[in-house]
Amino acid sequence: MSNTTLRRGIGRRLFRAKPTELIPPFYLWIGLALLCVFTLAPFANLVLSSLMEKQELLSGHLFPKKFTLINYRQLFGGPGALDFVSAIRNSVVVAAVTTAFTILIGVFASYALARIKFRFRSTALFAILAMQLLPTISIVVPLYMMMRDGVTVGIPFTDIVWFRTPPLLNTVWALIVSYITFSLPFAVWMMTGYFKNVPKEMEEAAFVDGSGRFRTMFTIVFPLAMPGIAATSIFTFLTAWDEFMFASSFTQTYASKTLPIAVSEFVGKHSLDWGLMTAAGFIASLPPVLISLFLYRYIVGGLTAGGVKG
Amino acid sequence: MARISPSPRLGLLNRKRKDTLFAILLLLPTVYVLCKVFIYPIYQSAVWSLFKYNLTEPGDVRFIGWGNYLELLKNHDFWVSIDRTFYFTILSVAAELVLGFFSALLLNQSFKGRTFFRGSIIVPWALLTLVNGLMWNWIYQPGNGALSQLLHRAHLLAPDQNPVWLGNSDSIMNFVILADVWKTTPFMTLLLLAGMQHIPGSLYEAAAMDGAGFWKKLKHVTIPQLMPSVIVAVVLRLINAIRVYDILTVFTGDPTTSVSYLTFNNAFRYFYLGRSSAMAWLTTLFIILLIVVYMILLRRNSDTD
Amino acid sequence: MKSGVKWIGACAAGLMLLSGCSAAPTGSPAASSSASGTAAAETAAGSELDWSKINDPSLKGQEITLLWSNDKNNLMADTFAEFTKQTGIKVNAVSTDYNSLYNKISTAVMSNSSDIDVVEMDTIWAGQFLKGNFAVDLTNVVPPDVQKQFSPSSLESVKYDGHLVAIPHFSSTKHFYWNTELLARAGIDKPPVTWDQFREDSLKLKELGIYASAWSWKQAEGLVCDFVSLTSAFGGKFFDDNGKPIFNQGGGVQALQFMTDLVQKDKTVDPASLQWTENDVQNAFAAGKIAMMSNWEYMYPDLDDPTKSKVAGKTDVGLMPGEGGILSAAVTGSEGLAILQSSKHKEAALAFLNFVASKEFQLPFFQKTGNYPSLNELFQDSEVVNSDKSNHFSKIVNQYQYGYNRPNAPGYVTWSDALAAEIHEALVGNKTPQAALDSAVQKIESSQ
Repeated sequence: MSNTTLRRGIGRRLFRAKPTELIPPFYLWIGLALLCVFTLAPFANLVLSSLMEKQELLSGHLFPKKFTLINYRQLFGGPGALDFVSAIRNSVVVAAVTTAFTILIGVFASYALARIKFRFRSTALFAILAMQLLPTISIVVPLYMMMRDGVTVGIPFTDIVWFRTPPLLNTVWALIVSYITFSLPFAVWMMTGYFKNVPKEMEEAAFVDGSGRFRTMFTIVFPLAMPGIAATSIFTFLTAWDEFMFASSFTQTYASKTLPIAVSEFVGKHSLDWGLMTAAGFIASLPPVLISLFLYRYIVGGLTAGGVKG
Repeated sequence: MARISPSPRLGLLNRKRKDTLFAILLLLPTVYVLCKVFIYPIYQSAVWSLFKYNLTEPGDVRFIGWGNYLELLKNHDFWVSIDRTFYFTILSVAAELVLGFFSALLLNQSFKGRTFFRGSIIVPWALLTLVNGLMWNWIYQPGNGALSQLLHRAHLLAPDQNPVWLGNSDSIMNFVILADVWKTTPFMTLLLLAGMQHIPGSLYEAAAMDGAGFWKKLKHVTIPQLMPSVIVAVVLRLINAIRVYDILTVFTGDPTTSVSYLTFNNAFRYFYLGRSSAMAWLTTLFIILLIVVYMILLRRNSDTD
Repeated sequence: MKSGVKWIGACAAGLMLLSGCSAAPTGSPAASSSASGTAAAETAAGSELDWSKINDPSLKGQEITLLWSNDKNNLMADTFAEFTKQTGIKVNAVSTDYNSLYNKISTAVMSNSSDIDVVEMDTIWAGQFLKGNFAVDLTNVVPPDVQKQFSPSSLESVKYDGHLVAIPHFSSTKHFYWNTELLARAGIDKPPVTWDQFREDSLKLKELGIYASAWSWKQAEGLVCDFVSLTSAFGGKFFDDNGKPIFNQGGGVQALQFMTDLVQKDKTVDPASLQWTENDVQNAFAAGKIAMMSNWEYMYPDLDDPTKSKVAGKTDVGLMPGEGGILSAAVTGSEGLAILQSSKHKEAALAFLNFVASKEFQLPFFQKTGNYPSLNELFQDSEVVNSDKSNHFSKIVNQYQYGYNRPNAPGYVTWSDALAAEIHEALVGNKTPQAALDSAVQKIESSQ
């Protein structure tokens, strides 16, 4: 008798959800296990493959009988090593400079859009949103011509030009300039959301103390919205790291190839050398994966503020 | 003394004007850069789409009005690519929504090791798109790829069967969808999770008191409360999915697998700048339609708030 | 709702602004056509290249960039260092994969980029390279007695319309490879000499559970290459003498029917063929998984290297099968190195091409990458012949008598893309061979 009650008690705990929640523990853990396998198994396959020798890969082993670092050694010591290392360097430079530039000019625009009331404010916000939604492919050709002829500083839609850069194709600058087309609208949009969340009272208190807008911006709003600025930077960095279409149109030599390009060329050049390719893929993904894992909190916060509330 | 304005109303106006000037000053760099690298190029491509403009025939550039557009509407490849793009977009976003929703439900519960699970789902999302393509291409290899190996070991495939998963462009789409779902479901999950965290537990408690089980709670509490997040997440994903390009270049050499791929090839393989601009603009029109829907839905949301 | 009205208003205002000054950007297509005018001026400058000045000491210290796909492991670095030692000109060799080579070159040309000086030119691009002002016209630059040193077929492959567009750096056709061990196991003592026999032998191999053959039938140029070999073997023609596509008649249809039957009916082909390029096929062959393949000659050194191949010593090569009155037919794939119009080091590049046209380049190129020489005299050169230890040199060279060219008119890349797509449709069974080829012909004709 007492045995069945006990069993029923366990059963109840396993198969009935807590009142404030949805899923009973039993199903929860089944679901979590499935989720974990689905998310991690392909990635594990990538990592394990990179640790196998060619023969093992060709005979279709899923788990290596013998671990080897030969693929990594070939990646960083083989004939293509210099190219791969230069791709890593280019990726870092492009992603970092794009992020810095975007944030540097984006914060001011976001501040204006979030904290100052002026005409056409919501219009400007909508325009910024619309820009994120237009397809990259429609500007890639004109941008290509722009990079070919050199970027000018002047008044758009007129012939007035004050300054013209040398042709930028095949340099990292072409990528930096073109990445701004998507990173700037995105960053402004996201940071505006964060700045709106900074309580008005704090800024107003500073105004009363005689502090001007310019000073409150730096002393109150920016510091308080720091997590948001950080999240935006992370997102910008990751998107720039991942970008492929601009990079493949604007680069021909190793002077400006980034990691996605290097990886895509691996597919053509070393066809079937999956050990080497998976090793390259793993290395190329390491920075974004580590960044996302360590800065998880900021990313989730960013999605909440930038995406859902916007 | 100078601090006392002649009339308080004028002072307010003054401050307003000053604010506006300050706002313009702050916005100026961004507006300038965006005009330069975004608005102007987009305008330029609109103009080019009305020209016969092949870089390989520089002598023969001429205005042809809607010629490029009319030609495209009759072009078989263009419609095949549109068809496949929509197939990809709809199926992948639907699958991501369902999977993302249930993953978010799981991760919204409190349990031991939640941080680990929440952290682990971010790995696919952080992977480079190109690496994701390469990884799945490896998994789909006939013979020694993981998919064939697993199916053989599970005896779902007879030993003498050795299917080519990426043999034709229509079946490629299904496998690309699987790869894309794997990579972007975490994004969906995180967005929906953010929305779920705002649903108070008391609502579930109240529903439980009425005797509601899992599905009833889902139907009457979770889904209605989550709707705003779902809309935002779906539209954001739709807009990204419709641009699909990079992953396809790993899987196939067939440019009709997506509109972006076809446009890209027309622009950078054949250098038909006029035609590819027209193609890009037709795609843009589709996306503008989506934006309009997005804004209407957003507006409706903020009205109900 | 108010802001919505504002938004529309702003849009309208913006559009008015744009249409108000539409004159400025309309000029931009025209502006770039004037840019092509300068390209034409450069062509004139190109003809100032002087073969006799290639040893000019002023070239010392210049660096040229070479973009090619023939040497993915940078095995030629020592040879280039030798060239640098002789001339003081540095060679920066950038290697890429064949299937993205054309895109990279054309992008560089369209952007007037001077980053790349010398590029690998496949025979089929000669027309585009000449007419599209990609490459320097070398007709009057390279002296006739130098041109005469090349084998006629390799020289022909880098010419379009009588103009020399590149210096041929290797000779090539497809060849027939087989795994002697696997054929023996199926009781086949001689490789097939007709495609009919190939089919019979394939079925025998299939009974043993061996894939008889694998092909590079991914939707890419490699697919068109095999189609050309087979079309010619079946007595068909790819394009007629006026450059009109006629592969949808006779031999062309038979060839595609044959290919489709192998895949769909006989199932003797490794099904992965439909997503493979030449290198994938080579790898499958090297792993001992397939018995026969049609592939380029440069694979031999790797196939015969026990560290890279399981079939070392079990591989043989010979004439591609024919059919009926045709003894053998193979598509040609000779390539050349061309100087880009936008190069700023044309004279140094020419010096490099002179080096490429010498034994100093062609011998190590043959030894290290397996690509056959293009210089006539080297086919009898004892050093060249002896560096082939597996004694297949004469068999490879024999195939060169039965080469068939693809057209190399300026539109070829577009045509070939259309054709590859349609052939692929037939191979997967979505279209009948006749329908697929008809539709390809129609696409090609409408783009002409």
